[in-house]
Amino acid sequence: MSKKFDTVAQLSAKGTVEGAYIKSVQDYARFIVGNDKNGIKAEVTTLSEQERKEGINKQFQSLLFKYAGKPNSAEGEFDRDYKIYASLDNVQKMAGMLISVATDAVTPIYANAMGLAMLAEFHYGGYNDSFNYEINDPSLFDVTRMGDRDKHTASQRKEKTNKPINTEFFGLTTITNLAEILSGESMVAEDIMKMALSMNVKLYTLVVEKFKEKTEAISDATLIGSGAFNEKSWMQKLKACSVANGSKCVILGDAIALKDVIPSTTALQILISDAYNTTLGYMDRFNTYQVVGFETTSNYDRSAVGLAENRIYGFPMGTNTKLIQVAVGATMSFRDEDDKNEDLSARISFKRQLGVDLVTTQKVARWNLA
Amino acid sequence: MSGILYEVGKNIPKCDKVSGTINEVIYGGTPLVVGNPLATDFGLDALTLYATGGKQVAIAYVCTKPLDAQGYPVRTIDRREYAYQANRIIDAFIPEVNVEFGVIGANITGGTSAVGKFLEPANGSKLFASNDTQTADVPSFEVVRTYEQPFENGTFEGAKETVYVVRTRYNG
Repeated sequence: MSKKFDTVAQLSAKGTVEGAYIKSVQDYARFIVGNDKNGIKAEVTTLSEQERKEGINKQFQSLLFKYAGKPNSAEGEFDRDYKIYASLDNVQKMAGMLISVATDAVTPIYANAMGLAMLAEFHYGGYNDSFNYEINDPSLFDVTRMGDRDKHTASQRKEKTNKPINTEFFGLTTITNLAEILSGESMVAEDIMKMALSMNVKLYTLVVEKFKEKTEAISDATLIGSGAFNEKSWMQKLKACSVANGSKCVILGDAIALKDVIPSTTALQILISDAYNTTLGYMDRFNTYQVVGFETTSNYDRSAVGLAENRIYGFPMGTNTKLIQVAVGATMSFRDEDDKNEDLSARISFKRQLGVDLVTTQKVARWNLA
Repeated sequence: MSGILYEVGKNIPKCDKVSGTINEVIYGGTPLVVGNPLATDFGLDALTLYATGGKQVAIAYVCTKPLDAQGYPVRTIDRREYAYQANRIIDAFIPEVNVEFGVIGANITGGTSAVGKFLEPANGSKLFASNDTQTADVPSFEVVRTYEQPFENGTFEGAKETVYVVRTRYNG
């Protein structure tokens, strides 16, 4: 009889408390199994990987034959037949289904937790749906003098336009095999969650990069400035941005960039609040404008993804629509049909149709810190 | 991109109206010559593109219900994409002297003009030619004013089209 707790040992590799618990359960199991009950003598050994796989195959033998519709056959034959189990439609699709469901459930929660809700708005569609955004001119009409009886000679008009976002597929592929899954060496649930989170990190990266790319392209001189931080000049840019948007903007930036946002004269710098030193690392309010630090998160290779450390922005808040529009089309996952080799490797691909672009009528102010 | 007619002038409603068909894709602001009533639909007139020697043109309105080549409604709300497909009924007005209206660069050969120039229809063309002086016996429209019309495109800068407001001149 094989040792039954090998899989459990894999699940809890590191923790001392859990390890001790598992060890005690194992010891008890060995005691139970090792007792000579009804003439059955148990043999407890540490199995090699090969022995483990063979043991598993034996356990599943009757189930395999049942699904394969075959009568029980000699022991030597079962080496080939575990493939039938793995080739079952439901088994193949199971990992794929789990990934799709996990990702769609995790995306809104995780994306919002990373501060994406400030920048982006999500729109969901189906496979190859086209995403078209209606843009309305937010400006007002010009009022001029006119005569008592007459109308103006010239009439005014506001034009409407729309902008499509093109989507393309983003995806990743992982590989595992059935023996690893069954023996506990490969944790499918963990892999699936990692795939879902990887996709969300990619989405976050796409949105942040698009924001940085588009704000760098702003050329209006009333909204951009550069050089050492100048309090009055920055206030002028913020004012221009706020009136263009119809609401007061906030000062947004990476926490390190925001450290430059301080009063200009040394005497006034004693007004720096506790937030600078105690809670945030930057002033939480500056000249009546709220200051918001943008969260930094890690990329798939553990590098930082966030705003640049030498940029601060005047950012529109309090409006209904966000700057970046994200179009999410189909979420698809599937197992590669070509992988049917001896070790039953499962190559699982997960892909998502995504489109990210700037669609807004809001303005943003930008300062390039020296 | 199609052209647009801007009905900026207050006298346009007082002008004569025509409706007709032409076997061309037509957009707002296109100069057309009014022919005889259609034999099949006598309430409609045959319309043709300008030919040298013509003394009067009608200016097409912007299509209000645009269809694509297959006859389905177009998906855009940008009026610069609106056009009448070939053989669809077009509404136009016949401008009298001193009537003002506006067109954009897409209505003009070369894409630009300036205050003081004259937009005149060209032979066989849907576009106006921008000339420095008025040509005798040809419908002439003088550019009297330009303004920038915003066309928001979703970016931080937005986009603008120059609208050329023209006034119909006596062409002798």
